[in-house]
Amino acid sequence: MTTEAVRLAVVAGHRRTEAAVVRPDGHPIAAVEFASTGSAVADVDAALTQLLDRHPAETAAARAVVVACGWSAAALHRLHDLNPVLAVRLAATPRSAVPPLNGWPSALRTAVSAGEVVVSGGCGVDGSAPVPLDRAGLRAALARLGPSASAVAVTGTFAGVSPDDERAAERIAETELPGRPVVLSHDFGVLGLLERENAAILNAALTGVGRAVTDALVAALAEHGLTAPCYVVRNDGTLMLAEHAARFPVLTYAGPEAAWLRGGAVLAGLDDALVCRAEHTEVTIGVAHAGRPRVAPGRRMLAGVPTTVGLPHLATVRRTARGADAVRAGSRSHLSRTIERMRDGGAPEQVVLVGAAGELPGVAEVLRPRQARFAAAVGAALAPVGATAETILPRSMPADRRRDLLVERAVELAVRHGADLGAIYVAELTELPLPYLPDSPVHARARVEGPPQLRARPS
Amino acid sequence: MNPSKVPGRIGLREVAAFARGCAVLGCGGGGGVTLAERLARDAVARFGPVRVVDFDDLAPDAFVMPCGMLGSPLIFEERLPTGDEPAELLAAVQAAHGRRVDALMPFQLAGANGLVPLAWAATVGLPLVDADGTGRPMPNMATVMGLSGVPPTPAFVVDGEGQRITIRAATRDRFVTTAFGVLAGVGGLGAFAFELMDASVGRRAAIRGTVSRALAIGRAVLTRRGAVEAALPGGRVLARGRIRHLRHDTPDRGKGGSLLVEDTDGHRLLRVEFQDEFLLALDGGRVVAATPDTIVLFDAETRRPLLIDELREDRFVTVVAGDGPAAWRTPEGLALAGPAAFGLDLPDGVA
Repeated sequence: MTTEAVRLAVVAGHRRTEAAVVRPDGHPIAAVEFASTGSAVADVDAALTQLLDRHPAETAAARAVVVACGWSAAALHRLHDLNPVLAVRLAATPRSAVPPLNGWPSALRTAVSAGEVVVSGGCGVDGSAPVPLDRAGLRAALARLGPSASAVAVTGTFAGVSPDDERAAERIAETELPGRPVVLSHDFGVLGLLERENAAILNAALTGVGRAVTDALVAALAEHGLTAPCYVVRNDGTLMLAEHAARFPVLTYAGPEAAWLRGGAVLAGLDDALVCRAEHTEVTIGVAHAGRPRVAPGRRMLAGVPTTVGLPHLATVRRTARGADAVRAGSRSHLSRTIERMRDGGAPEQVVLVGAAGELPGVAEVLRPRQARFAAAVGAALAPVGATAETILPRSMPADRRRDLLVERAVELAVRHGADLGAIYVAELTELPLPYLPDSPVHARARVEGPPQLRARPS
Repeated sequence: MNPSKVPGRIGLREVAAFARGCAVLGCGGGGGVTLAERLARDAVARFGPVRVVDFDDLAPDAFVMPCGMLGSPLIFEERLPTGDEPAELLAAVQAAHGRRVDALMPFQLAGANGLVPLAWAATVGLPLVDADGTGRPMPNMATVMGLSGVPPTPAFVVDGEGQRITIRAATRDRFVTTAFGVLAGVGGLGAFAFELMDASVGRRAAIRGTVSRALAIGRAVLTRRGAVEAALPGGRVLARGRIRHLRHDTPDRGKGGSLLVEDTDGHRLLRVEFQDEFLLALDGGRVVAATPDTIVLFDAETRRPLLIDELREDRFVTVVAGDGPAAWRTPEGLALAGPAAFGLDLPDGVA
């Protein structure tokens, strides 16, 4: 039996599920893989069964369990299991040229909308409140539209500066509609009300299935006798406790992709790499930067809707099933061109190949690390817990106070996400002055990371 | 300068190209066009296409309203318009002047402010004049109409929520000071109309043909046919290469920064200086473009013009410049729109 702090990771990808028990140095000491069934819970359960069957001692020694599943992506694409959401906007005036759900694809809108309402509330860019929160108006809207809603999404003007009104609205919604999940927009960023609102509404639509999947995953671990804490991989390649992740399904939307991007870089021993995951039907290309998935540039679209949710920058090239050589010649140039385009976007030169297919036709100098088949599981297993705090702060505040305030918030969040408090470090700290404002307030952002809390070593 | 071809109208099919053209002329600033494009698309879908007219198509005494949003794009994207802004502006103008507005005109056809007047023109059913007052984002409400002596007031500010303010100022300086005071009073963002004028005045005072030009620029970018620089007057590629050494001034120092583009053709480095927009490009120490020129960084992967807060090191970009409007090329014009207006200390005659 190993005495190292090994972690167990299961990544239920779109086509293939891989699971491994991984040493801290990235070496898998036990691994299994099989074709995914499409049910995240069934795939994770099957992976645990196979691992325990073949490698019982290694598996039982795991001191943290990490999962990455694409169930929220599947639910959004197939429009099933979505909650009807009541979208509440808190703004200075109830009229808007751009009401909630404006411009949504009609099928998605039909699946998600349980009503939209704008009531007075929110604040200004400096956090001051020009209008008080219309509590009576909110209660009336909840009474009128609440019965058809399974979840509520609340978005206040400049909630990223002061979330007070969103929090007050949450308390009212929890009283008026007990048991219904309430999602607040300030958990999804700072700039751009529509994008933040869309993220909150999509997230609210997924909270029902999120709760069901998470409960089933936790139950599966317990049934297999695994008592280690359970984490989920997020879009940025960091982890969050499963209990917490159930409330933020859109943040784990691209967990499997984030896992293999990180895993590819780790296995190749690189910080920066252009990582290609080749499966039998397609090649997906992404970028690891400083060991983390690089976020796609431009508008952050999710299910055809602009959001604040940053997803890994990916391009997919299909491999067709016709005669292998003919197809290779055709898709080779397409693949090389796609890689060139990614490089134009700032991707590094070095190509790392992971996944089940062992070759990348037509691409020169490809690094294929050992255990590349299990890159996703390795990436998930070694990921740190992460948390980001961002807000708008006045430039008159001293720089070190801005920094302390933001880092303190991020650390508090990271601990809630399951990070080991003693080992949290600041991974990124950015401050950008906001244009066209007289006293140039600062958009400040802190990202912290830390190792997950592990199950106590068996005595 | 007489425009070669007036596009006639902007319907749903033209909105995307027009938006991309406005983004190019934003020179990295002027706010993202996403929200304004949505407003324009919604308004055109609901109220129908907007007729685009040249000053010569209007009667000499037709009353033209230069207009747009003033204030922070950030607040625009957070507070969102109510949709009542154009009707409130027209009501305020009518009350003060006792005459009807015949056409709208973007006071600044750059970034979001190119598209907002289009949305408003669709909403109130008036034509849009193929002209603007700046050619690129300008600070302190500076326009070429102002250079020509068009009085800025009475000017009108509305917030779409029922507040209407009319400014009558003795001098242009006091108008600007008052306007910014009013802006603070309406929460940092307002719909503005100023320098209202007859078409006969606009004919000589405004920059003409710029709506058509924005459409042509946008089409060149979106269709990938023809080079973007060909759609800009005096258009030229300054560099193609990766962004290196992107530096934003620390918040405590200033609000600008600079970057280097390492050209793929060798060891050439292009240095670009920016504040709220790109202001200056230096190649080997030589000034190759300076405000009021158009300076744009296109992302090679997406062909989108990048906003300053979207810049990232290592991205591959094409830096394109075009000549600024001739109307700014006088000593008085350069004092408002040239490098010195932004605190860039260049030798005389360089810009």
